[in-house]
Amino acid sequence: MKTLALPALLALAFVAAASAEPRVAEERIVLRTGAGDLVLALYPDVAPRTVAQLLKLTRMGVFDSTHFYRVDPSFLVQLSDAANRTVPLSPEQRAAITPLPLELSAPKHVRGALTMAHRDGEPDSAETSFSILLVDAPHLDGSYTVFGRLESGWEVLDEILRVPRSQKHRPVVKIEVKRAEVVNGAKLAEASLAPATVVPVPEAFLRAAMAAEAAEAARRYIPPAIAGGILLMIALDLFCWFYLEKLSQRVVAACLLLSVLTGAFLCVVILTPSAHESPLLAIFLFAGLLGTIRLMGRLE
Amino acid sequence: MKKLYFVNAFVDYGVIGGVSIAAWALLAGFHSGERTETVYGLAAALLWVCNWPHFSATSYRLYHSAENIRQYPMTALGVPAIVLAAVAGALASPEVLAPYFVKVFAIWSPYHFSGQTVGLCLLYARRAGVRFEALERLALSGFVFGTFLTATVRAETSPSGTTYYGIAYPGMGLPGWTVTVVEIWTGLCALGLLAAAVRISRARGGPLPPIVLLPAAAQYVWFVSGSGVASFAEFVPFFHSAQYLLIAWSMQLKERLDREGLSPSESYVLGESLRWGGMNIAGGAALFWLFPRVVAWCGFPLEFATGIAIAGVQIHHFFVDGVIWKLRSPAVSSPLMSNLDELLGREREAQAA
Repeated sequence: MKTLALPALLALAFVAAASAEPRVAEERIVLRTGAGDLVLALYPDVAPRTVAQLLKLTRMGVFDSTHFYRVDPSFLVQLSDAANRTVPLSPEQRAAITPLPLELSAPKHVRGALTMAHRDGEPDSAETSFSILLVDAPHLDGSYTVFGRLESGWEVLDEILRVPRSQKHRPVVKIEVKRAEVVNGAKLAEASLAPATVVPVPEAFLRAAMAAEAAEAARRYIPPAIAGGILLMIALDLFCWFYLEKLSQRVVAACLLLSVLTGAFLCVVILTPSAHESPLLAIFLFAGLLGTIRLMGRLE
Repeated sequence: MKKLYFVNAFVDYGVIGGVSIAAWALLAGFHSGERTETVYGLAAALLWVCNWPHFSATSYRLYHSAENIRQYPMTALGVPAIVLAAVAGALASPEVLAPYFVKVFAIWSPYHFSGQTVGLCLLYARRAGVRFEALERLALSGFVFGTFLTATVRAETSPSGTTYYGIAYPGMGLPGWTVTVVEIWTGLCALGLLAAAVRISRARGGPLPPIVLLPAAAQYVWFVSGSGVASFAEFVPFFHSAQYLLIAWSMQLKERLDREGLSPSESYVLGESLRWGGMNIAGGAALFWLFPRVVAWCGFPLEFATGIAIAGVQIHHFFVDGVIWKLRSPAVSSPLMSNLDELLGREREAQAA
């Protein structure tokens, strides 16, 4: 019986150790952003050097005016490197930033985890850029330092996610960390945390983002739509062919012109996204469309 | 000189371009230039009584008699079928076809304005007994279409495009230098047009009536000078519609008078104006208010359905207008030589006296 009990106890202890949350530091980091405040809980026992460094840099104001430069709803929200913040770093701040070694331990890359970014293939190159995971990412386990979790501010992240983004997950407006502060956990209630706020996006950016989305969608869904247009052209041409002898020349000419218009429209649909990279194609398309419109004046 | 105007100098100058130029001067000089609530409210009210009825007037002109439908069978029957197919395609494919359907409409619309402007200049020239030579005609068309191209090419240099009823459509990404080319072309044509005005004035032994070139000047204000004044841009379709309604109204009165052998009189003008105007207001509401709601009732969001339905109705209008208003045809140009005094019977009274 004793021989069975020991492995069982060890296994239970292992499971408990693996699932239990690591000790959370007294201090929290509060990121005061344009979308509201995010509270980060830190794991000093899991990643002592990373946590110590981040607390120190926060107190020195290194994270002030950094921004979320990568927002990928299916993956993470990533803070920019402090070297890329809006206000240039002071010499003292720059000197305080040193590369951090990879600190591997039990906490997994799960939703809400805070994980340090580093250069590809250089695990000991983490400095100031880190991410908040929006989904579980087990493929990152063993490669990146998990140093805490998002304690509060999910609704703030929702607002950040609402800001339109480029195809490379760059928000169209800068979502800045106005100020980062170290706050004692017991005094969080007194820290007057800002609730989630809508990030204002200028109409021009919204339009650009919507147009980019439309262009991207066009690339993905062209075949069925184009097929419909081609069918229409075929129908018009077949109509002319079948009734060639019964129709007047004027009606045949009109049918052919409508077929030309349909073809020109399909060209615009297919080629406009490519025209953005080729000025000559853009001129050709625009002139072709105007010429087609002009032709329609001769319909009858 | 009496027949130069459809109504009289005051009304014709106002409707054909004077009011729009004055509105631009006022809005650019004394207004923030933004689309304020007052601007939106006024523009929305004008939709019901002017913009929408002008589309309906075109449809009425084409479809009110079987003879017209027989004369233009493809425009009357084939085009609506094609446009309806395109509307259905755009509704079924909101991400691919819809943006480009709206884009074609957005480019065709100012092109269509330009066609009307050239037509008005030529119409008033004919009424003034003036004839443009071939090169002068080219200068006129070049200038008018140049103003449309200036605005359109500028918009098309941005690949990001814009939105229409929430439907985002991309620009073509034309290179920036194309704007300069079009501006130079427009400037050269303007010089040619001035030279034509001088030549005609000398030949007539007096100045060219300004109303002959007023539509072209108004269009320059619409698309070039006024393009940066958002509040003014909101009213440009109204100014275009008002021009159209003046001509179409005069045409309707004269055609019916001749066709039915009626006597010109004040009661005829008043009664026919009310009947025709009322019908077009109702028709406009059906096309632009009811039709989008019917489309939305089929399961599409109202804003999206409205954008597509309105684009479809307008494309149909561009087709029809391009066919039924050919000044070369005597059936069109002859009734367009009438004026209100003739329709009221005053001219005959004056001759009798």
